[in-house]
Amino acid sequence: MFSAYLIHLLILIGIYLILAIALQLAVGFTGLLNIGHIAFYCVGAYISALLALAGWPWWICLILAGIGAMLFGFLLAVPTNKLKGDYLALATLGFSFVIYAIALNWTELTRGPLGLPGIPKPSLFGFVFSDNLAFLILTIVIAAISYFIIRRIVKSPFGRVLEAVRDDELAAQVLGKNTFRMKSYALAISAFFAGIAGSLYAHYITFIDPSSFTLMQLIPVIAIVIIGGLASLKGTIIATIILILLPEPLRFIGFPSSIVGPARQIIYALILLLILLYKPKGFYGKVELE
Amino acid sequence: MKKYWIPIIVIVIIIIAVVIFYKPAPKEVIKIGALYPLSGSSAAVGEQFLNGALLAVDIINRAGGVNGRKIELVIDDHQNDPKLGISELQQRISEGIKFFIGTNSRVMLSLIPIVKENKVVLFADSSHPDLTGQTKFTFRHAIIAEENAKIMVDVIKDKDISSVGILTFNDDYGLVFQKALVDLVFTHNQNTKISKDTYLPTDTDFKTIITKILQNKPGAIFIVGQGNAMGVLIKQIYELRFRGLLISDFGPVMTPDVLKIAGDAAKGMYYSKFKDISNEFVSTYEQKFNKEPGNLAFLGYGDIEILAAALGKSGEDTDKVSDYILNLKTFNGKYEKMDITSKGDILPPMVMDQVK
Repeated sequence: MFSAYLIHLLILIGIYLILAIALQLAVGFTGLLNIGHIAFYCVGAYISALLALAGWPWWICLILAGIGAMLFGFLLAVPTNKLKGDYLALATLGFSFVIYAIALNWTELTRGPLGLPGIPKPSLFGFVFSDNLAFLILTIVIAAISYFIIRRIVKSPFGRVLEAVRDDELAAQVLGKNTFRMKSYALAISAFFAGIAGSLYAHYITFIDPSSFTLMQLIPVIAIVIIGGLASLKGTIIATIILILLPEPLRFIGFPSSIVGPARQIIYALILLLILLYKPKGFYGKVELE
Repeated sequence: MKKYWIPIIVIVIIIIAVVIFYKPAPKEVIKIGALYPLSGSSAAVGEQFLNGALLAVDIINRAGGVNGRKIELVIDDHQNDPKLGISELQQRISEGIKFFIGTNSRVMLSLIPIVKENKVVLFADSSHPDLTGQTKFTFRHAIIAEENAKIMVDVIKDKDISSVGILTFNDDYGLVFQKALVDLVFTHNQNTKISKDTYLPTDTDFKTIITKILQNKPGAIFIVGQGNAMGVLIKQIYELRFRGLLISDFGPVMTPDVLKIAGDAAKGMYYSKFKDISNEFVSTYEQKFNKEPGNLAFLGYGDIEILAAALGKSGEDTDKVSDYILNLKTFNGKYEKMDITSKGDILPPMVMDQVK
């Protein structure tokens, strides 16, 4: 029985890992401070959930969730092309609010605050991943594929151009690189994997509503990217594991009922602060957040 | 080695905290998991439920417990986050806990597949209509919108009103209420003109939506919500010179600040409240917590009371406990007489009152 709890945590680690390495591609490797990442996660979750509830096969839902989110990535890249740093962060933040408002108010499609309950578990060639162990294996496979694709991208010449864009966009342009196209691709690929993570989340939790995709949900993902270290996939994996598992031992501490909620959060925040205080670049950070 | 010292410090801190605070539970205790939002924006709701449940545990234990065994609440804070809620439920199930109480729709809905799979009993005290009816192991002891809307619409039944306005929270609670109110108003009189809109708990300026509602010259406005926003809404409805019937749900008693903020604008307003909440319950609660009970504490109290009764009769077999509760139809608690539907909805009797 204890394993069910561990399996759940491992599934969360898998989903968050996909979400975090996707954000790492945009923030760490390309230098795009994308606060709208959660919106891609939301788009992927809703596309997958709505199609699955309409009876579409799971694998098509998963792929369309990624593609749908990717299209939104391209869509966001166009107006934010000339923005950098804080301004880009603000623009992408606005984008996440727009997607949230659509999810909340387009009630005919999304059921608004009532959410979408009863999202079916994934099934492939007649095999239903209803058991959490099976779902964990599926999550590990998808997370591993996502990791190796992103690793391949960042190690490729294309990845080096992305890093050049991050370090000195003007220099990259002088060398004849189309930086707009590079940034658009990076954002779209990042969005694709966020959409895939959203799809996995929707089929695992089996219920989504707009408040599952607020800015608050992005904070742990950004924390993973920063604590793991910018432009480090290895750091992202370690930070994902630590940040997901860190609150768990705190559950075994018998705080008095009047302080149980805030006390656990305070300890969690203190530990995170300690890490950042002594490791300002994160565990394996190669660049500093500007 | 230098690289790893931060993770080592983190682990040491956690171990020290566990050693300091860990208390092994005494044997022969019946554990009930409490899954509430105790931090974040829904903390006030969670605290009300939790305090009610703690009060009931205290009273039952002092009276000898359940067949001589004490009850212990194992408390978790899910922060209104389904991922945390699932972690907590899975962990508590792994510890052998089979009975749970909790609130907030989005978390409770996410727990249903686990409840079904593990056959544990969950009191999911939230307004979402999909919480019950999927498995016999989930119960919903909450303000059921359809039931509450009935007594709200009863207020206009004997009055000559041909146009009404409906303003509800834009959340699951508000939207279910809105639908129930529209259906009931139409059932009462098909020719009634209905204008409706929604608002957010964070809104402070409602004049646009009120003006839109007032264009149809409503004889009554139904409002549904809670907290500061509802108080400001009532005030602004009055400021825009609406003098017809103002009929509210449970909001003003769930969060008493509503009436303080609304002030004189709330005079004459109808609102729904629990029928059975007694001075004895209020004073017992005040003795334990040194503050007035929020009305949701009443529901938390009832959850433990009904669970304790079921455990006393059926033992810890979750199948038998569920069947026992479902077959009860009516449960006479110390303070509350509850009707239990075949779906697992536990209805607290409600009445309308008027602000003097």
